[in-house]
Amino acid sequence: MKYKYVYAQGKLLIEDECIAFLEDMSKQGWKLKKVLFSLFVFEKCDKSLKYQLDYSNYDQEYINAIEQMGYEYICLFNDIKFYCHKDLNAIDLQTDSTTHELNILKRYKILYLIFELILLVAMFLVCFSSTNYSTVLREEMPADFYIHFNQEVLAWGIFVLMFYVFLQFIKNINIRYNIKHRRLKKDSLICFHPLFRLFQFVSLIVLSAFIIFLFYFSVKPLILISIFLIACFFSNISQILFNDQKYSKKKNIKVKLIAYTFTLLAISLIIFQAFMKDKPIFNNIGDSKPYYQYVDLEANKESNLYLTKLEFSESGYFEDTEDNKYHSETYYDVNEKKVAQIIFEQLIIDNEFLTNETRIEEADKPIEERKEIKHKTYEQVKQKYNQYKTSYADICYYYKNQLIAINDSQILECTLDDSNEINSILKHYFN
Amino acid sequence: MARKEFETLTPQMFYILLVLNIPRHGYEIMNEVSHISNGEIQIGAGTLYTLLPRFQTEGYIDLILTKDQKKVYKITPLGIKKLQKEKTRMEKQLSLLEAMNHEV
Repeated sequence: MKYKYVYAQGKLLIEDECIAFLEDMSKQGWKLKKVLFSLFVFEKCDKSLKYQLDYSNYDQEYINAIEQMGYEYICLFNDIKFYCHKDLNAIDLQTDSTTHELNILKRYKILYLIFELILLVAMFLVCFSSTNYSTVLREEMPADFYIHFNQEVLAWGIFVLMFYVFLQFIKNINIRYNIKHRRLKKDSLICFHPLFRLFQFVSLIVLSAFIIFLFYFSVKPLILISIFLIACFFSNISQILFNDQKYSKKKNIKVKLIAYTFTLLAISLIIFQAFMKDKPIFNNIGDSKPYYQYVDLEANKESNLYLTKLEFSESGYFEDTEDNKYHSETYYDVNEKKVAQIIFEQLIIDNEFLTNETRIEEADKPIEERKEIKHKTYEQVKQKYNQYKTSYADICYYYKNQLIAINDSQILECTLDDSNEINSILKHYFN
Repeated sequence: MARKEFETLTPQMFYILLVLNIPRHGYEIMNEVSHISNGEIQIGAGTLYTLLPRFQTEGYIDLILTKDQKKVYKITPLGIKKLQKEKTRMEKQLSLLEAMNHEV
């Protein structure tokens, strides 16, 4: 036997639209067989049918009465019973709009609203209590966006999710309010189970988590697939959000939906292509050993769509010299020359800011008397610093034991006590 | 909310109480209402089976017996009073209509 599967999601939102859709399908020769989680399953039939949905949970007598009226039970989905009748002029199951609305309102338990509110508050707390998220979103330097791209995506992802939950919450309140005050017209009654929406939300979280996971490990080909998934998913959300006139204007709607989904896919593909243009799948990190091999360095590798950052650092207190010692070597392998330039400039600016004498003096004063010292621009810092001429790097600055150099799209930043070693450390990293 | 709901009876509510002058079960009510109103008033099963327990809690009807999974209801004195109230309301409307003497 031949079956036909139709994606159900948006159609299960409004009762009259759902019925209109099912009756339309029966005119085309398809009878509803069952409703899988988000699919309508149809089988062949040669008659036009009348469909009814029922939410009440009464006893056997009620079911018998419905069957005596000539209704045929089809299936149960999320507390919604689907019935069909061969006679197109049969009496509706619900003839009184007041009792009908009461039945529907029963399904919108206040518990779901409370649950959504808790979720919302929890997400809000996660976002703003964690220093990670708030600092990521407060970064002002453009280079930080590239260096901390993964955290950036994570933070914005959480914000988008929060916004989504917030929209759903508002929508649920709105539905409750309207049903309670009998403001909904008969043709816009809802038969969509809130738990179903919860499932949707959870799957959105899982999908986003999956994508963030992929970003984290920079598995770039898979990101493409997951962006496809997200685009599909969001096209369905939009179906629900902008559902209102859907099945009332029967023509062109399927075409529109398909067009909409494909446009979204195309846009996401274009964006992705722009991102991935001329980028290697894995950055060639080259020699991943630190230059100073005699010290016990802590290695840290971070990788995202834009760059691979390799950091060796060591800090500690030495009793014999009574001195705090700090040593670090940070190497960036950037995919785009332009991005490399932005990062390089910021490293210079930050270095100037950290070693600025007036700033250090000000830091010793009480807070009330402190003057605010601002970051200088790259042009200003350039005049202050002397360029170190070397054949191993395009631009190289050495200032107060700090070496910052750029060669094509590779950047090196390290602490170096002896200026004679500049050439050999550049050779070590840039070759 | 329930009290407000029955302040004025909708035609469907009115007819349900009307035909319960003798004990009837759900399906009989539907047929009888359709019969006496010449098919003008038709009550859906969903509506009827939502209203019956509500009428019962309001005290308008009584569950007399249950046989073969069928619940048989009959109107109570309170229900009759409600119908009488509805009658005076309608009579008032009628007399007002006549008093206004609209020209056709």
